[in-house]
Amino acid sequence: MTSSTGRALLLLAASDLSPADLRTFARWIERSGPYQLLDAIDRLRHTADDTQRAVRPSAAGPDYGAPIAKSAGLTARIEQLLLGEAGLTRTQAADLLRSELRQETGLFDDIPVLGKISFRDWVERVTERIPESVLLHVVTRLRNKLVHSEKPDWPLRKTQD
Amino acid sequence: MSAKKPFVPVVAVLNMKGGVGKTTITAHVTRVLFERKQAGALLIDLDPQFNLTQTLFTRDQYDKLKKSGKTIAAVMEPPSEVGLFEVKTTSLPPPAVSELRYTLFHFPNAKPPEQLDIISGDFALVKYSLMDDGKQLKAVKKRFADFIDAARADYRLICIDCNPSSSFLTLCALEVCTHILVPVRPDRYSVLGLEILSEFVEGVPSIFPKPQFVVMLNCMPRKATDVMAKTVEAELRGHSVFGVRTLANIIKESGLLRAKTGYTGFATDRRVSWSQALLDQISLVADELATKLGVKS
Repeated sequence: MTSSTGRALLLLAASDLSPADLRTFARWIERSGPYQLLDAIDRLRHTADDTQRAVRPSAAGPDYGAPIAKSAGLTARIEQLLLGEAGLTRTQAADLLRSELRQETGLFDDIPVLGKISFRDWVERVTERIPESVLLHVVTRLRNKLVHSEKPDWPLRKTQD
Repeated sequence: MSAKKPFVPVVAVLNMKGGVGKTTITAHVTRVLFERKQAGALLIDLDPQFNLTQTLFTRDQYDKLKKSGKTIAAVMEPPSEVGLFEVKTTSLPPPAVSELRYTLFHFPNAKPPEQLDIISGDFALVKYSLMDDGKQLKAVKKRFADFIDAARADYRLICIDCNPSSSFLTLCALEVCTHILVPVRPDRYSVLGLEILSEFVEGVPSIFPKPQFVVMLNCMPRKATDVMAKTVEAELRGHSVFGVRTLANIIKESGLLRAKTGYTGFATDRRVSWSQALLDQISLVADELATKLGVKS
């Protein structure tokens, strides 16, 4: 008896199969032949692999589902574009941005005025009402109008409406 | 009266410029979106270079899939002995997704079951770029479209990794997709790749209805002073068409996302420095993309 046959028999011995179960198993191998046996084992191994990879709670790896606050950098980026690069005051930036956003989105009453709150808090309030991508588009368009920085030598054309 | 089918976004990840991170974005953003929204998703590797497959499978694993015929090639045509320049056409429907998919992850307790599955790639697809028999190719394209249509019943998101060219395979993806996710690196070539892709989509009548573009900045430098990156970002975000379609969240350059010898799988699963920071960035992108696609928790 080879050592691999011995190991397979040991596994069968360790299972709680009854003599009747083992006879059924032996008859199945006799009827099915070695290829079907190997195929069945291969399928079981495949299933075992799948189970092993099953998504588990974070203890098994990084926590993919952890809540992430909206990009904390968004407010800083808007400040940088309008106050840092375009050189606007906070009041000018808020007034211009409010006016552009009203034109872009058609929202009139939903965009707050700066009032007595800080520019950062005002931007935070605006992001609650306007999608971040729209806000960055309008801020960048405003910044591009005011800053005469290096233009790309292959500018992006308007290709869709 | 039958119930209205829920909308299932089909996203083609594509830029006519190569090397912009399509495969990396396809794999990681889909994985993270699947996890965060617990939304079943199907990845499809439609690039004959099958880099997505190589990212996620070892050679042995892939050889087994290939041997058992469980690759994208079986979607395009039935198994046959036809030569490199021929197509086996059939009136039979394509195989069901359950016959070909490989489950990467699943939520065991979700009802209905939510899985992240993949249809692995196959170099055999390269033959379609060598053929010009329109009738035969039409049959292949229809089979792919039928497969995607049927797969919509099993998933809440389908994501196709495409090859960077205006080839037959690209057309297969563009004719079935609802959205095109275009990764753009901060260089002039990948911005032009976006423009060329947009012209292509507009100019081909068979791509109808026209899919929605979603642009994302990938591989952005960590230094805020990088002139090229600033110029590209200002151009893109200020653009009258692509500006609002550019995700506010970006992926910064990271060595973790580069292919590593001896590591197979998602970079975010590696327990190394910066993997949490990378996961946070991808999570923000995935959340924003999910909103644009209408995928909810």
